[in-house]
Amino acid sequence: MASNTKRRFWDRTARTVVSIGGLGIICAILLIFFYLVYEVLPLFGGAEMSEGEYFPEPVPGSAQLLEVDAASGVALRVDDQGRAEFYDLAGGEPLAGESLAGAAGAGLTAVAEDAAGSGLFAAGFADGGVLVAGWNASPEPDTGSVSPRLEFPFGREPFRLLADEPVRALALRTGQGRIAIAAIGASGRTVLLEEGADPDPAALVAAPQPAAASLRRELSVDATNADTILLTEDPRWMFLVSASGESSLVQLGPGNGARVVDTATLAAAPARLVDVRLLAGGMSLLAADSGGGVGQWLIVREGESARMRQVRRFDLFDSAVAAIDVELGRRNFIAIGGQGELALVNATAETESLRRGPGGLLARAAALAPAGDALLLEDEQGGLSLWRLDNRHAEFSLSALWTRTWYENYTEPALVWQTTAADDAFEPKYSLAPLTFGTLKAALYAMIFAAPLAVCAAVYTGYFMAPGLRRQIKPLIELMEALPTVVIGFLAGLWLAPLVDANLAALALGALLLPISVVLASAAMARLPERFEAGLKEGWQLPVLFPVLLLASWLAWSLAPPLESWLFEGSLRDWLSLRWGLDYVSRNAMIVGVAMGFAVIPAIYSIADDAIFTVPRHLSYGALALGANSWQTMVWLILPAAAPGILSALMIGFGRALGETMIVLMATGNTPVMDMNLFEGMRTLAANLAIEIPESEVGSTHYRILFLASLVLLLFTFVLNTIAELVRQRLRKRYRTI
Amino acid sequence: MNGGVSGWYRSGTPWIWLNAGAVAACLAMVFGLLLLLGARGLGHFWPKPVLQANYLAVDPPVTVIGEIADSETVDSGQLQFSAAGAPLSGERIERQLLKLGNRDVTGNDFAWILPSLLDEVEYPERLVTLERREWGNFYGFPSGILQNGEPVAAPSAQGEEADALWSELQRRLNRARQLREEIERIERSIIADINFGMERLRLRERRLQLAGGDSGEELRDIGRQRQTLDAQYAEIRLRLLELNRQIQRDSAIFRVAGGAEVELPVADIVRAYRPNAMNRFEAMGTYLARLFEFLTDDPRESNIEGGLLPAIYGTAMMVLLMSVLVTPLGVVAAVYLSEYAPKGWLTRFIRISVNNLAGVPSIVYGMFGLGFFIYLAGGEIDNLFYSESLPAPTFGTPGLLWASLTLALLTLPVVIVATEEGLANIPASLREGSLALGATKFETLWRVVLPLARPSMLTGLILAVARAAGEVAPLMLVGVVKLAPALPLDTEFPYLHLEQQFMHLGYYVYDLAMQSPNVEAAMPQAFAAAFLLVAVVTALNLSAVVMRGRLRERYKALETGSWS
Repeated sequence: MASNTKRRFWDRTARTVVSIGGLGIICAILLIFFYLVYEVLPLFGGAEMSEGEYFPEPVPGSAQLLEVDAASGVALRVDDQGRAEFYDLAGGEPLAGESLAGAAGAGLTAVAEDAAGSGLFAAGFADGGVLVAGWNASPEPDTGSVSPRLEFPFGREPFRLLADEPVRALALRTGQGRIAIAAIGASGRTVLLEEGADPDPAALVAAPQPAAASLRRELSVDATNADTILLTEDPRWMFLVSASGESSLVQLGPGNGARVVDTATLAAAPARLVDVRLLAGGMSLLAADSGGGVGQWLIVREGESARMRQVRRFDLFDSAVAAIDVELGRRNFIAIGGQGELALVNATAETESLRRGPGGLLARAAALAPAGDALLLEDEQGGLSLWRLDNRHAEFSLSALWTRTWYENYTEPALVWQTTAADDAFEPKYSLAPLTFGTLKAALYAMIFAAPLAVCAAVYTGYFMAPGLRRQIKPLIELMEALPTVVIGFLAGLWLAPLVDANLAALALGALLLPISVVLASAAMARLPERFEAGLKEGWQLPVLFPVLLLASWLAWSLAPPLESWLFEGSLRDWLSLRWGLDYVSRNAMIVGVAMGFAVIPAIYSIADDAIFTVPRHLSYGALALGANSWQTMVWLILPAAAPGILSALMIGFGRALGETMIVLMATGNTPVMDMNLFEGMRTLAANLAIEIPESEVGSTHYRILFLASLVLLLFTFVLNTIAELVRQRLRKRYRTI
Repeated sequence: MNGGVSGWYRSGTPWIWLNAGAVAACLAMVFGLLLLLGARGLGHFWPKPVLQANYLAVDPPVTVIGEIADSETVDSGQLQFSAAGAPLSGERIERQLLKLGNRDVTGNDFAWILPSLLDEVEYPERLVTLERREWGNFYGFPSGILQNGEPVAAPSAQGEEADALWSELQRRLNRARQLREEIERIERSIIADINFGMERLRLRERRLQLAGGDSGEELRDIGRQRQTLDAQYAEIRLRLLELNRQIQRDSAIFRVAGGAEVELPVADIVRAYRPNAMNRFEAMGTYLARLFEFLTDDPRESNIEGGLLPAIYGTAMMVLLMSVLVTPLGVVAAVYLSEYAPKGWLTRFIRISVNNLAGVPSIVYGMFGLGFFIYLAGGEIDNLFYSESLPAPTFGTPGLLWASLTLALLTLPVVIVATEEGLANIPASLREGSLALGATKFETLWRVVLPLARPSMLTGLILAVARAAGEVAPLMLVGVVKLAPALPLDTEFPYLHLEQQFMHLGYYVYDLAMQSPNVEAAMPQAFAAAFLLVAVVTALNLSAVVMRGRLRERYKALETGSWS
């Protein structure tokens, strides 16, 4: 035997190693929680803004158009003299420039950016001509240096939109391979020009020269007062806005048809309108006023017509708004206040991801980069400054996650989960409410199916059955827990769902007949001579019941069709939908309820059975000795004593049902609808994770919201299980004392 | 129990019976499910008789050949077609799903029919079922054999000649099978070796480029090796071409339903049999052969046919790797919790937490695995060690290692709880005896306690394996794929490919059920795979239950002192 020092050394080493290892492993398990928090936290971080870099030289004139692109490091500025100049963002150096002018040197009178974000802009001149230009700042393939230049995809020759009068207001919109320009002349006449009205979206890229299909129309609306014109996509709608804030929504019809469908005052007196912009996506209007507020107006469709409706108002500053600009893809906008305040806002989520107090940021024009990662400001003296932004998770807000939100193209606020679409300008809808609803619905129906079965079974095996037989039966029921959920989901979706589809009535009848048949069997057995009954052991009901259940199922099966044609005009499904308006989807909540109920029965049963079985026997012996029969003992003594245990069993079963993934994934259609209808499907949090996380971009808002959903699941089940466990432990302690 | 109905009611008997009914219903569901899976899963391999009949639902009637795959009773109002003689709405009628096969000839291989409209049903003995590499089953009468396009047997074989033709066809099938095996051997081992060598050379070259500096000599060496491999490849390719030419030599002509003749290359036929002429033993032989193929072959036809060896293999590898990871970790944590941890509220809290983690949804573990293991840890590993193959990720993508780790984490609570229970159940008298004899705590633990707790560790491990084998949701995020081109363990260095994606039985079922283009054709295979999965998991669980029961008795014996 080794020396004692050595033995003591080993003893200590083992203690240290096991303690460190054990604690380490437990920490590793807890790491799950901390990691999920770590992934979720950036959502709550808001935006960051770097210190401004001021350009050395002030620029002449005032900006009519200011654009900045952080990716290529270049800014474009068009001043009121028609001079277009590029600047290098790194040093503020002017890079190149040229003058935009109409025929015979006609001066610049209006400029408009493409609201669809193609990078194109339109310049209108005093002679009524409109020139469409774009800018290219991609690095040279060999040197990597950037030499930005203007490009004219529709040629250098201006479109003759208004033959003889100056362009007062201008709007440009690209999309679907075509380009639409709307212009208002000094006299108030309005002209819409559509070029390349070719439905093929590749046409504009393939042949940048003007396509053959060109459509110029004089619109029959009065735009005498309008100072701003805005075009939505297609173009189907047009906003006309006057300097005083009077605006009208114009619906564009075929030919010269144009109809004012609604009017609104964008700035309530005494505030006056400062600036209007279309938010990304082009379906909503931002109106900044001198009261320091920005209102968001949506086009809300009403049948064929539509109305303008202010769905949100952001009261940002005490002073007037000096400048606003919008981001391209997301619904973000930046507002600069008259006293140098700044607010970076996401309209859909209604979040202010960044705010600066008064002072320091005085500006008369602001430009937000397309990706929202840079901000260019021009102050009253013509000084330009660049501010870098980090604003990744602006689309997230707790309120948008849970409350009704008014989205574009919706007629009212709604709870919607919709995260992906083909379109870049898509407005993502992150509401966890439908998913949470679906989760609870699925779990609830599962519990409705599972709880009575599991608790009743536990009552029987835990008290009425002979312990020897219980030892045999219990593992068999617990075997259900071992069945892979993918197999249960497979059977539910591909075997049970079609079966129920075709035999709904038989199923409903079975649910009625089975318990009745059991009660009848019990009555029949009670008529048997007592001698016969006494000869059987406890738990003898089981062998009798199997044939009874089989018989009842067969009865339900064969009785259902005649009953169905007699009571429900041939089809229960049609009857339900006609009479009660209940839509029937093949993979519905009932299927999930049965399948997931099947999966959670063993969890509930196992714990409930233990709770009932471990109620000290002397209690029930006492009750029986006092003359109670076994059922009375059960109801008045055992059940109250075991109630906390049964409750904890139900909680654990519920927790299991909340997080179950495969069954819901396979047995429902996974549509995130909010409807308690038993015959409709749902999408649960867990199934949603399995569906969406593989396609989600790492680190994006969507990705982090999915992690938030998994954190919610984790916390919910963990808390539920912990409470259940504490209840059980207390129960165990109590039994020990009696 | 006398006293009439009210006495019977007051005694609570109906309630007790209802409770018994719940037990019976639970048991019926478990066994019903197992029976259903067993019947549908195992029945799939039995060669089904193929019928030939005139179907009167269309005018003029057509001849159909096929096997009955399914049948159901529906309301006749739901039927889409209204044929002459079809019953009117409001009646329940039986309809059958007929597997017609011949998807390449007719376009659709399944049809719902009304059995009442089948006329002159017969089961011709000479009808042949072909299982093919592509396009699913084929049913027809052999009517000739072509060798290099020249007929070698009578084109319209009748009677005795037909049997001769059948045996000639089988001879040629055997020849094709041997050639196929040879081709597969070459493709699997030799070509894979060459490809692997090429890839290693490419990575070496890339590494040199990344490192910069003078490496002309080494680059030349790489060039030389590449030439050798290229030469080997050219040689093998010639041999393969020759084999492929040989295997394409034969083709057979079959007459299908409706009388048309179809020529099929013999090389495309996996198995041919006459289902209607078989006696029980022959059918049993075919059954076993198909079962064997199911267990040992690669999948065909986007997993709808063939075997699921890669899925079995992938599941086993993943579970094995997980066991290696989870056992020591779980045992150390359990020993700490039960032997060394101070008794207090913190330990109690930790114990409850660990216990509860077993109830956390598995998809949450999958999210953790994806975010932490794959994107964070895997991405780092790629940056540090596999920069030469970037931007293609090596470990920064779902794979075997991450799946095993995720499942190890998922099953850790199971092992900890089971082991701790075992440790707690060991009678105190044994420890005290050991300590009284002068052993240190560690010696007691190592020599007395742990050996006694070994069965309970094993129970925990078995339960963990059963859970892991049946788990799919987290695996969908961290490593399984529909079809893995290579097995994670092979003869290429480093033999065990931890970064590779793999196939899994549970995911195989999910994929067949939810993502298969031809659900009707996929169902039997899905049932068979589901049955296999359930059988394995059930067997594991039952063995754990039995083991636990034995253990309990042994501890009881220990306490009463009757242990030897």
